[in-house]
Amino acid sequence: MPTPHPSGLTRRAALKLAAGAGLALAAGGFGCNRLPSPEPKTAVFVAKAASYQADLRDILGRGLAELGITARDIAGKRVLLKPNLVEPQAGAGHINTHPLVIGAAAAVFLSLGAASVTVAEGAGHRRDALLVLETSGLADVLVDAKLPFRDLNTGPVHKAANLGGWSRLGETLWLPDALGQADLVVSVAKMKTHHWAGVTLSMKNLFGVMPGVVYGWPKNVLHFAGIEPSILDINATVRPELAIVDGIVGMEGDGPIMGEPVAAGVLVMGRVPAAVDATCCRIMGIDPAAVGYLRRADGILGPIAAGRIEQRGEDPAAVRHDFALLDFVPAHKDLRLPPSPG
Amino acid sequence: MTPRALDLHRDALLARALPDGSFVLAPGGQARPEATAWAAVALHTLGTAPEAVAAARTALARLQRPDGSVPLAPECPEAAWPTPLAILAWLPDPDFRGRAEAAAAWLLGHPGRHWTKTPDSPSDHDTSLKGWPWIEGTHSWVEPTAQVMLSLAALGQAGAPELAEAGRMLLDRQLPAGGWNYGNTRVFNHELLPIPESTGLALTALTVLPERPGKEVVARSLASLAGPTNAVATPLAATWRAFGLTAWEAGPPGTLEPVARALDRQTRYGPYDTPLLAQALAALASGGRFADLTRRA
Repeated sequence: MPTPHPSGLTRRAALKLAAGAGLALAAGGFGCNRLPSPEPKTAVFVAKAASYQADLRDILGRGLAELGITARDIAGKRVLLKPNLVEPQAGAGHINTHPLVIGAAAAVFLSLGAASVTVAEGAGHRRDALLVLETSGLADVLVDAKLPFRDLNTGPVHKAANLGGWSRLGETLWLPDALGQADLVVSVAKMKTHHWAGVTLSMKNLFGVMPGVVYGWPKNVLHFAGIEPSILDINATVRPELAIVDGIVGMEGDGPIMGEPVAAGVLVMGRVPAAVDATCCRIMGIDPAAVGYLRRADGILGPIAAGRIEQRGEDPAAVRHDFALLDFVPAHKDLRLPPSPG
Repeated sequence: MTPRALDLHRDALLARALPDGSFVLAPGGQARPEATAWAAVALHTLGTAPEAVAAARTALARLQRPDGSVPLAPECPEAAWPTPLAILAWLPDPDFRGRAEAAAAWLLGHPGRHWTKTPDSPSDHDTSLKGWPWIEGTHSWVEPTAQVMLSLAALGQAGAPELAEAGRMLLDRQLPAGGWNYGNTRVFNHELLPIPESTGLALTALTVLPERPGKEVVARSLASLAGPTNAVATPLAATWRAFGLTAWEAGPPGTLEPVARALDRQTRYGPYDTPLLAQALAALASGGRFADLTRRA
């Protein structure tokens, strides 16, 4: 019987995770974020952006600078941007990462000397990836900026050791080759409530890297293996180097698809997805410690406690905008963060 | 589309054949069973390159497991969703009949995972009705169920009770406003949205049932799919819109035109993956009549 770790991780899995992170630490540079030590604090940048007509490139550029990411970190790197395109519908821009955020992120990385920027996604419910690009409005951005797109659902895949150990997915995960061909994976997520997981932010966004040819449309294998444990396993294994969350217009209520738009007016970014997501939760009026997978990630995949996160840019409390939660959705139960003092 | 343009797309498809008969997923890439199966179907429907078609069928035969299934990769036997595609590829050649029947037997013994719906279920559909899953051990969804129905019916097993139940499952998953998505209708009382390729596949599959539902049962779905919103020029959606509407003789004039436009739009997107290219070619070559894909030469 495996020895349980307080997070729900088996001891063997915890050792694997530490070993994987150790390799990343040895690599230096961006890899240094991979297993945050208890000290020092992890930086998360919050910026106001009233609309998608704001100078998003400038905001994201400032964010990278605040996080200490410079041209030296990016030059020559192959960057993979992973947006959330779960199920686009014409005129429903609150479902997916906005194309202008993706375009701005690509422009910033290219301006810092990235060797290439690829946009890649394995949409959760849709097999016609090109229709997803057209309906979401992303196709025009990609064509204009000459950015390549990779369909993570159908492209070549390989087995990788599961560096988590929370779920019933087993010792290995099947991952797209496109991930291995990138030097920097960036989760470019949307700020939404989620009717199964509570919230979907940069960590849940990584469901979309799991190939449909192995996990299905929807990725039902992950559902049977446990949604929250699967989120943890995927993040432990993929370990994106940066997370950006589009909260300019997010989704409240019955997310991730049928909820209502909510203009939260923020972009949130950081090197540690768990810390970024915890900050997003506070902005959404949600207690990150009440979100099961964030609570279990705490201290292993990153800190979620406010005291362990160094907030740069806007104070999350000052831009808090409570996202509607539904009393008939079990995953929304008891998520509400108490009002900020004062 | 001019015959010359069609020839160019056919040649692009043929160029993806490997010496062992299999087809690559994308130019310069590795072989994949769904690419090989759809390439064989398309070339057979085009009535061209019989040697390449035979070689592709043989390549698929090498992938078939002793239990009859044809998985995505030997290391991933649970991803057996290419099995009905292999049946479609094998069917026109009597030499592969035994393999097709073994694959069909495996499919009939491996439906999706099902359970009795509980009153507090957040999903509206009847979770007990069996169809087929993408991945063995998971729930049944619309598209794999439709693909299995089409392959088993082409094999002459349209009257199997499993297909009748799968037909009921598809109808149960039809959205109240018309159309299908991947296979959820309402979740937490919100009606979900249709997807053109799922709708086309479901509509095509329902026509193979001996007790085919009346047109009035799918009237909203047909109307939605025939409308301009769904006349999109991306390959999978356009292909299955054409098959679905043609199967019900509900296609407006120019039903195949989005398929041709989708093929031309490789100038915008780059070369399509082989399954997309092949399915679009098969739709054009058959005039949108899915049953023609498996007719003997």
